[in-house]
Amino acid sequence: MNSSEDLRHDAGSLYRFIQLIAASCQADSGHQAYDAPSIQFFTYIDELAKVTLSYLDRFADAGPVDPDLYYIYRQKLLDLRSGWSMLHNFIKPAFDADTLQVPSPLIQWLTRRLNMLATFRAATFVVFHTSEVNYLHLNTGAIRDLAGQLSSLIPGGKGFPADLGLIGIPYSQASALFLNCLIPHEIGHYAYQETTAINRLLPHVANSISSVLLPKIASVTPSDIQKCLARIQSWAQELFCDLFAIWMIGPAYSYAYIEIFDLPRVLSPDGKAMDLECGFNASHPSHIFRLQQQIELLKQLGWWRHIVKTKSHYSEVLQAIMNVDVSKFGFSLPENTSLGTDTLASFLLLCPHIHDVVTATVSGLDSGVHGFEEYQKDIQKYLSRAVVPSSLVHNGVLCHPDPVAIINASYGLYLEALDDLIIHVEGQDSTSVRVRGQWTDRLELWTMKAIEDYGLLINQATV
Amino acid sequence: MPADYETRSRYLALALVARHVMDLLLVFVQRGERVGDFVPSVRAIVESLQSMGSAESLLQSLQTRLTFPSYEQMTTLDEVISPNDRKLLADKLILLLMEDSGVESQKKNALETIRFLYDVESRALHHFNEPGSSQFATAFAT
Repeated sequence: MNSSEDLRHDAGSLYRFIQLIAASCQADSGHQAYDAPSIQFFTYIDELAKVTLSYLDRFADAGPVDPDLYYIYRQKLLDLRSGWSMLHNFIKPAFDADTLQVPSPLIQWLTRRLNMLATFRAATFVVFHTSEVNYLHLNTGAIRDLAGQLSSLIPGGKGFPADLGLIGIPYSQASALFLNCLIPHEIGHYAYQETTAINRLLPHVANSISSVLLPKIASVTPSDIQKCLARIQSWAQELFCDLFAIWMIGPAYSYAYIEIFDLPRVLSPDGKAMDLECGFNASHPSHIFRLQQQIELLKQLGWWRHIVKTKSHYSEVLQAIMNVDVSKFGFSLPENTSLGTDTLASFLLLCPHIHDVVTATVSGLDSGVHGFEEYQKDIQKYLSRAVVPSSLVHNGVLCHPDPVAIINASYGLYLEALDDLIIHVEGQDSTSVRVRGQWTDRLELWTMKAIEDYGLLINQATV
Repeated sequence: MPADYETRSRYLALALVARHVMDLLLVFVQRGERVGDFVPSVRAIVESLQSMGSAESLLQSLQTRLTFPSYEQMTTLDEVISPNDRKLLADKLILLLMEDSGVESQKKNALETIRFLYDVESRALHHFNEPGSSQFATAFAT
């Protein structure tokens, strides 16, 4: 069973599979509206589908004459089917994320902020919905790579647009602001991939692993090195993205991180939760380690003195984490205990270089701490009076604070002074969690409006 | 979206890399032409095969980017080729890069490489389509 007819049948089956995917990828077929990056994504998928279908149409004609090569040639159909199966996972979630279902002002501002860096001048992001609540476990770089690889197998196929990144958000959280302060981590994955940060880190990775493993090289196998390397590469990327996020949005990222992982529990006096959260897993460094590294950068950028002044248990969490000794961190590889320890030791040697690569990547970006220092009190005063703080009078002058200042001042108000906002309104019970939730919604709404206004005001100023 | 998509994507990436090179080699075998990025693609495979020899050589090769950098990808290669055969295949591929060696022997080497890559691709696609079937899943199940 190796005739052209069989091949034509199997190619036809795949043809229909892709044809139906393409049919579902028409952005103008419904009532939803999409922003330009989403349209670009749908167009890319549609064009890739067209060239794939065109290729499949004549696939059987180009089969090798040598019968020994028949199944080798035929297996390309499974490559294409597997590649399209992977893309399939992202198309519907991207369609679900129409402009009403994403925090557009926040994403547009983050994109503009990223565009300030010469390397990312043209970067844009298509948003997709995910059922994963934990955004920090999404690494969308792989899908961009795969789309590029898939297209390289098809004559006329174009690589995934270099300036188009992917951001996944939990489908239910579009209207949230504070939790969406985790989005810069995902932008970090795009930055990591586009700047090929791994290539800059690789010599340091090699040196770190060598420092630890070379003295015992006689008992080390290539497989051990690969296991060690795989963990370190994964951890390094996650840490890069955390630090990148701190540069992008300041301590709001760390606060959101504490919130999504419910980390106030590490303050338990018995220390058990803290100990538990010190363990690294195969793909991610431990929460405590990641926050320690964030704290190091927050100190360096001048945010720390504001964090310790914040009267919130989130500040206490960060201060407690800062004091955790490095000996508490661990990584367990049950089948090879010493390799787990060595992998972690190698990674710890690498960390200063990851900080350096992040700093080089964001070179020229203002951390936003000075704007925060200048306008924090005014922003919080406006918000606590239910006024959107996009334009405020500061020392008698009309000003438009930067969203880094707006977001962090708002987050600070949410953490330490939500009561002040609620008690100004008659008949509101600040001890009710339901009421607090309602006012948090409004605080987020006003803050998001201020971010949106900032974009309009800046555009107006530059016209 | 499957939670393990990142791991699976690494297997698929390996399969697609293998197919890309196989496409180039098939053209060479059938028409004798080195099309596209034939030379850098073959050279990358040589470097990967050579780096897999010992722990020390692997450490050395880390100074530059590997073609098959992930653990999943390396274990897949381990499944289809023994350490001795890696060296033999690398030597044959080096001959393939030298345009002045005999065309017929080069085509023979190209065919052998195609069969090796076909095995790699088959395994990688299997691991992609059947999550949990790999050594990786066993080694790193947490």
